[in-house]
Amino acid sequence: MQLKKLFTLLLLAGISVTGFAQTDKNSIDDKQEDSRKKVKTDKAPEDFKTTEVNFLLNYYEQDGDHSPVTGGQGTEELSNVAPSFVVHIPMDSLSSLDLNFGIDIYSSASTDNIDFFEAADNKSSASGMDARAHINASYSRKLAKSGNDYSFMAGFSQEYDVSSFNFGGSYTLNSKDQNRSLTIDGLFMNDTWNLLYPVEIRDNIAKKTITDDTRTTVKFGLSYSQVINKRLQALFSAEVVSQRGLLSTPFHRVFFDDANIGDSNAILRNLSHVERLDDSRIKIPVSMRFNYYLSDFIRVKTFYRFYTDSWGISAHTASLELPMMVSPSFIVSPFVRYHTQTAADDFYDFGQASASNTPEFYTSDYDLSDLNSVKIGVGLQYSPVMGVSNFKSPFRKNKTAQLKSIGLRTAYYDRSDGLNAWMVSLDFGFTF
Amino acid sequence: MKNRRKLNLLLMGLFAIIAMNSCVSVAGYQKTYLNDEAMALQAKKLESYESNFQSYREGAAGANGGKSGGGCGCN
Repeated sequence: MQLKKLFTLLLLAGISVTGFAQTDKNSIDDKQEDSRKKVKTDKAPEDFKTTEVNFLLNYYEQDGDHSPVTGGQGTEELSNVAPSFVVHIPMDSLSSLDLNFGIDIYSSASTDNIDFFEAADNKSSASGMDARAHINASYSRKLAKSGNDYSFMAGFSQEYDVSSFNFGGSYTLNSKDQNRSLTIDGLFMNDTWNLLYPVEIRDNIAKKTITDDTRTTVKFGLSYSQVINKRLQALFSAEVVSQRGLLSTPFHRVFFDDANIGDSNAILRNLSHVERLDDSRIKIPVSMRFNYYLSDFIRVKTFYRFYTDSWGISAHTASLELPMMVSPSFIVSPFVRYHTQTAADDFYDFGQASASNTPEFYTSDYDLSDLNSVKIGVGLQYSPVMGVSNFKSPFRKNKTAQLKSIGLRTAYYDRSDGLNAWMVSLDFGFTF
Repeated sequence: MKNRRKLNLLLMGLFAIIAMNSCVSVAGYQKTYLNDEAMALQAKKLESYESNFQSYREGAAGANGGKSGGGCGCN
């Protein structure tokens, strides 16, 4: 019922907003645009060679009581620090190279429970802390004749039990008036797992049900952006994602109805099973985004997504962000996001699945459960026209580098099953 | 359930058509509002980490410029 109301509200807002007329500021706009054009044509070749570097420092922490590592019961406490660099290098006026690399350093009380049934002094705690390194590179080029763009990308990541690589590309058709664009993109991902079973199952061949150690993901996406009027633009996206291979996690436990909450560890260690999920999954998310320039002080950014997949999950996600120009160089953006989803067909709570009539697939991972979530937060962006500060470039002689902008984004996330999380990201934007 | 999914997709399509009908041709020199940094349709760099964790904590992901599969995210 609430969803219907939300959807209707979004629908009405979208329709009403498209009818607005704008007449003010146009003469000023023209002058500004003319001067901008002049600036563009006056640019020397070296001006295209300004390298942009963003240093991002991210922190995330969560807590909850439904860890899939201990069968849908137990701590989900986790914290993660993730510094990363995003580097944009213009090769010339038409092409550029982008690099994104960093590490995730996380400590997780739940993955530490892979050895849950081991005596405390025998626990290896090898999985209590881990690091993941990742790097992605992409090359983009604008075709001078047609005005279209294409890009290629490839990436790699490595952590203790998973190594991944991916590659893909995209092609964008731009209309002559630059009011419409259509992007077709494709991505292939391959994850190879080191199959790490729960401690009590490692020597039990009958319960080691996973045979495949590889997951492949193929994504095809289509997105269409459209300028609707001088203040409103929209983006529509649709994806088809196909996943095959190892889609369950080897150290996620499931307890059937022969187990009870409160049973001793000696009993439970003989009743645990490894999560089993279908080895293929098709995901179809469809989304739309409308951005509206309400006034010189405030903009309205809306997002809605509908999602469905072959595992039985269907979901709705809506978000609203209101960037506010507190001053010409300072933007405050409060935002709110709501998500609701149905459970996967194979989701069972602790002790819910039948031991006598075992289902083909079963999981107690609450990420796949029936849930709602709310995220609320604020973004801050400080980007003065002359930059935050200037200093001598360490890479080029007689060139000044600049700390161009500082951004901060923080959010609190609350999920209906009791999991909550807090995250903060800092962004320092440099030009060299 | 399937009918409801079809209805959702149909409604989104309908919404898109209605919105597109309101389109007017906007010349380059009239795009001052649309070129505003806060009006960008792509997600900011600052949001990428957030979207990444959301994709792990929710069964649904994708169509928002973020990751939609691959990697571990085990916890």
